[in-house]
Amino acid sequence: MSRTCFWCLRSRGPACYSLAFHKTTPYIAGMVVQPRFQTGEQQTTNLHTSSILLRGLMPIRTDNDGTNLMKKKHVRYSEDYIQEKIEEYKLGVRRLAVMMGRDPKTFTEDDVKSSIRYLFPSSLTSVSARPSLDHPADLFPREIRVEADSHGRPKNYLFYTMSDLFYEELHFIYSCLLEAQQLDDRNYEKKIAPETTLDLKGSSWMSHDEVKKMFHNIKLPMYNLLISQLSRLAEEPYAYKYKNLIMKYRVVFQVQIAAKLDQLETKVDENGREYSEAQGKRKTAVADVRVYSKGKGRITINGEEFDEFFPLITDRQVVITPFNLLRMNLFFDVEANVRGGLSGIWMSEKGSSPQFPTNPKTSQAGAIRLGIARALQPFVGATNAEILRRAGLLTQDPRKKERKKPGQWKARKKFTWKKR
Amino acid sequence: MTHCMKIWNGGKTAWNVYRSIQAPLTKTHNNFCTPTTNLHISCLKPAQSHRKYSTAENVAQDAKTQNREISALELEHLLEQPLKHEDFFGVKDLVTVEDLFKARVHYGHKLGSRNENMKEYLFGCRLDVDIFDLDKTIVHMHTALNFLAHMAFREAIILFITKNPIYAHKVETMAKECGQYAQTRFWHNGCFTNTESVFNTFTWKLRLPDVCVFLSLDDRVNSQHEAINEAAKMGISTVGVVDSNVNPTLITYPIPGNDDSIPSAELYCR
Repeated sequence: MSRTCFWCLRSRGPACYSLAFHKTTPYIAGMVVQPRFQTGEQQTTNLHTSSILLRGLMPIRTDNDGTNLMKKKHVRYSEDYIQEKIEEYKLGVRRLAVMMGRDPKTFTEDDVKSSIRYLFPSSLTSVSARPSLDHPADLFPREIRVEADSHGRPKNYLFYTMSDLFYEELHFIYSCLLEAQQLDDRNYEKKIAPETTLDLKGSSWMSHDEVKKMFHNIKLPMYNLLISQLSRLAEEPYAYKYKNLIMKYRVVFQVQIAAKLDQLETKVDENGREYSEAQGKRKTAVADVRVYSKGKGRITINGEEFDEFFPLITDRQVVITPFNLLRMNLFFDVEANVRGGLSGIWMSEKGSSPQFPTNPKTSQAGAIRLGIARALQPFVGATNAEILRRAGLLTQDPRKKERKKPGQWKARKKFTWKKR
Repeated sequence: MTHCMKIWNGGKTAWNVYRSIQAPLTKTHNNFCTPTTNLHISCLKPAQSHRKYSTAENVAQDAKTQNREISALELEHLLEQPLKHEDFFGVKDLVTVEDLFKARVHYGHKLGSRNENMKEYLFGCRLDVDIFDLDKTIVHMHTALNFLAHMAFREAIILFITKNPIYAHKVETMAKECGQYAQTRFWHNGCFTNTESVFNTFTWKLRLPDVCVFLSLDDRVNSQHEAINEAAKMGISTVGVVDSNVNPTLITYPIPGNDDSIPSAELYCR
């Protein structure tokens, strides 16, 4: 006991590097050296403070409160226990609301979280280690209620697969697939065609998390298997018979319509035709456009026919883009008055010949296009207007001709750079 | 199966005498019967009165309805009688060598993948394909079927296992109809040996299967099904269709035969 290592200040320290010392004094775990006295009496031992020794001698401290949930991750709790905890939780939430000076009835979960953060600010990086007031259903995993009869036979025939409900569903999907295939074979021989087809547009397969909510504890490969089986079923010509089954696992899109949509009113002109008016601009061109609702697809600009006014094909394509997108080329008539667009004037003769008329009026075309898109909205409905908006047809192109700067030839072109 | 049906209809009146209430006909001892044809003991030999119950459970139920105490001796008598008979459930009439041949049970795998332990069951090898000796197969088959029949009579949990995707669906439907269990999906290691953590059985007790029936022993990967080892460790009897590329040593009741083709699978399910 008198000898201590210089480095670890222990007579027996296995983690110390001074082997020279420790090699000569062998360490035996849990051994306590007791000095022998001549009287033979055992003195109270000077226990080493080494934690290794302690572990061997003293009982390990256990978490008797049961408050450390991480240690009890494997434990599952009964329904009654969870119910008790839920009551306590509700009481706690009410008290918290009162503490914060709020009405307990309108105190939401987000409010609970923010008030806990306010009352117990924590700078811990790990979110799960910070103080929180969670609902017991999230914290305490419920015990598994196994359905078995009196002799211990599980009720579900797929019990030993661990995910019986999920695999039952897969089994059912496969049976449906077989049925669909048989039906197809039979009807093909009889030369009967299927009545309708299954349209899966506007929806997509549920994500992994969403499927997890339906079935408990579905891992990714199982989810992939489910989706692939369902897709295979959906490919069958007779899949429409199993529409309910397929749609159960699909999420329908909600068309999100932008809040701002210019609501134009429709007017009626002298001849009784319904129309709507809008203005479109592009660079310096301004176009006042009228779109008549019941038409044949005729476009008149400044009194001239469409083909004559826009000899360049790209300009024409630009103008009819809104109709092309919605596939409504032959349902409307357009009357437009357009002015401006400088370049159109002095470039009109340059480079054009009777065989290849160029005569670009692109800015005017762009202006008309915007006018048409705006004017179409009341006739075409919110979803179609959303399509136009997403295609960028309802936004005015803000580009203007950039100004010329001094010290340069043009807006960007600079004078020749001279090294010296 | 049809001959059973006819005799069953004839013997029905005799059966009705013995039963006072509609006891639920738990799927009978022989799981290789389709549900419509309950191969009942009475349909074979209606004269013998001790063979009137489809399962041991029905004895107790019947006793209750008749309001009499069922003596331990009687129960013992009922349970032991079947064991003394060589073929109590008439299993030999279910399958013949011809049936096996028609279902292509005699085809094994290629010579290269042959397992040495399977040599004794093989008749020979033709065009590089191993052929099973159906005379031996039929003996094994009858033993296995007899065993299964007895187990089902005693209300065992029978677990049908296969990993072959060709007939996995069939096996599942068959198991459901029989009232037994199927496992044709991913196998979690430790299902039998480590039930506490796999099934979370800290608060309740799990009853493991009493018999495991393998319709194919190998996994889709080139290894044997984990359940063979686990069943052996836990003392669960196994019945298995052993093909020529598979090690039969751990199976209690091997049935040498084909495990890959659809007709053979259909035969086994039947």
